Amino acid sequence: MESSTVPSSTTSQTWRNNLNNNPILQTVRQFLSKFPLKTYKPLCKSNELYGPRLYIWGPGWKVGQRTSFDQECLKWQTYLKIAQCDFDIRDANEPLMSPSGKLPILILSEGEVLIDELIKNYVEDTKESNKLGQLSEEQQADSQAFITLADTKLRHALLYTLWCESSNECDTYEKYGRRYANPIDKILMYQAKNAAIKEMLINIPVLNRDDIYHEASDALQALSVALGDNPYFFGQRLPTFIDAVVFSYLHIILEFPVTSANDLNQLVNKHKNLVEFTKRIYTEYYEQEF
Amino acid sequence: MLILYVWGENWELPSIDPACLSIISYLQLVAHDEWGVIKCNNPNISPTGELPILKNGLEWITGVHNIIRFLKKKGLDADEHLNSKQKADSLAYISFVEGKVYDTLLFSWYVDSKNFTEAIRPLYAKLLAFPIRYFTPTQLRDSAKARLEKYGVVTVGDLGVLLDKDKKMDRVALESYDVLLKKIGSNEYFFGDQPSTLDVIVYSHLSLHLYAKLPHPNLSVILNNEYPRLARFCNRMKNQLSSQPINQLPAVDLPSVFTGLIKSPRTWFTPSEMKTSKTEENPEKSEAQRKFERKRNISIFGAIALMIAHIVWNGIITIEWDDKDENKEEEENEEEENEEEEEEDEDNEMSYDDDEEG
Repeated sequence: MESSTVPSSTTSQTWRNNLNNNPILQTVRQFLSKFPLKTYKPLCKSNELYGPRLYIWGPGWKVGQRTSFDQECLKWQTYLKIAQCDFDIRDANEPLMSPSGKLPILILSEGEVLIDELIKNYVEDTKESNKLGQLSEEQQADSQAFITLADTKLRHALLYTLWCESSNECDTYEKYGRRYANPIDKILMYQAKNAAIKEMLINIPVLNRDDIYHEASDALQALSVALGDNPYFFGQRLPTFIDAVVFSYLHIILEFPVTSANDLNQLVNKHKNLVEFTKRIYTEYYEQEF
Repeated sequence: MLILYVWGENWELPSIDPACLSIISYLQLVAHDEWGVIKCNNPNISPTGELPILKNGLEWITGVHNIIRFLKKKGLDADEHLNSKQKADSLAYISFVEGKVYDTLLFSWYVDSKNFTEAIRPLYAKLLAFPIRYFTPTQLRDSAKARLEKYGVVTVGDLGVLLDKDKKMDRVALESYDVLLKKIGSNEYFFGDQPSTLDVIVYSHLSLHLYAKLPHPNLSVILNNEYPRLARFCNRMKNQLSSQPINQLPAVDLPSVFTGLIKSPRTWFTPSEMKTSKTEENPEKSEAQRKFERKRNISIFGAIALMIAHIVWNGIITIEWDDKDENKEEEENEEEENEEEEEEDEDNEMSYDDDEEG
């Protein structure tokens, strides 16, 4: 194991050293390091962070919603909310500001930038009072399994609805591409669509509309059974991570403008308990602010 | 008769691909006769580019989920004894196994360069046919990389060697085994004492972790030492399934690009794109086009009729209905035909002129 990885890392190191020692590159670097020639004093300093701040795609699909319209962002936004962390929200709408090229990012007051799993670790570390539900070991295993189920089946269906249904193109563009100037928005939308298709093709060999919705319908059925009549998953009094994940999918599916091609919306609406679950979390954690 | 097209066997397992192994084990569990396996070792025969494929008469079904759904409809249901809660759990755990557990297998096969160069690439070279054996393993590694990118696996150097730069994958493997261990608990099978679809799929994935003989057998060591209960589960399933024989069918009539070409060599010379473009054109004739064609036909036939009338009128050819001079008449007719051919050539030229005018 180690013997295999060590040589490859050393080769990459020597390759990088060669690049650094290249005389032409060095002169170029020296030349560039002279700029800017003069730095003026800043007129006003940027606001210092007084607490963690989450940069997301926003605002939501409907007017006046503080929920993000992007599933990944909404997942972490909801998780921070249900853990009752103290944090700000900024509608950044610029994925390139993140080190991974994807929103959301959480910037702490010390200047640390957190993405994905690191946000989860941060929440688990800083959580003072028990605002989250406590799962037993078996329930944790179940929770992992159902999260994977949502992250594959529901995510494929959502990506397909957003990027591959031609009748939804305008709505998706309105949120993801409208802010950019004319030629750039087309290019960025094209790239985003390709990225979505690539992500789906990693797990399924061919994008077949019926298959994708069929799998999503099975997944929703399973989630509905798992939720049952409980307020949150696994009969918890307080929500956990899986509630944030499932909420992020269902909320976006339900809030996405209803068009002729929105089969996913109908699939969710078949399960009354899932719809109620989504509404409950929304009223409890998002509507109280106003 | 159900015919299953799969990846070939190795390490005393019927197939080296977890998806193929899942369907084989499923059929071993629920169906007794009336099915057979063809080791075709070429994913290109499938319309979706993946194995396994199930052939039922004229029907082709691809993908693990589609095949299991089809078998359940046929009455070969391994989940009959489950209640709806257990079915929901089963679906969730199956997607977990096909997600994270499969990722750890891909990691061990393709990112560990010693395993890849010494075991996996030779294995595929043995299974695959002559031309594709040189590039299919690399393609498989590229698709594995696409799947593992989210864990921070990157390509290093020109040879496409993969590297796990954040060292996340070992933890992923342990976490996924933990999840399975918690689910199975102290049961014999995942849902009580009867095997179900989930057992089959977990076995198919874990058996490749456990029984594969690799230069770096990390996963096998971890399973044997730290998760003996999962290893025992695999052994139990293996013993149970080994009592069910697998009906191997000869790979005679494999649908492939080459057999298709040999059967109908005409397809070599008529590219399919041209065919489709032609069939699309046919119904789309505009009104102007139709008018023009009608005019052209009228002018051609009119010219021919005028020409014949002119020949007959001026007495260049005379037609006589005399019973005595039959021979003469035949000769004259032949002459007339020859001349008509020439005339037609002229007419064609005229029609071209028409085209230009039109």
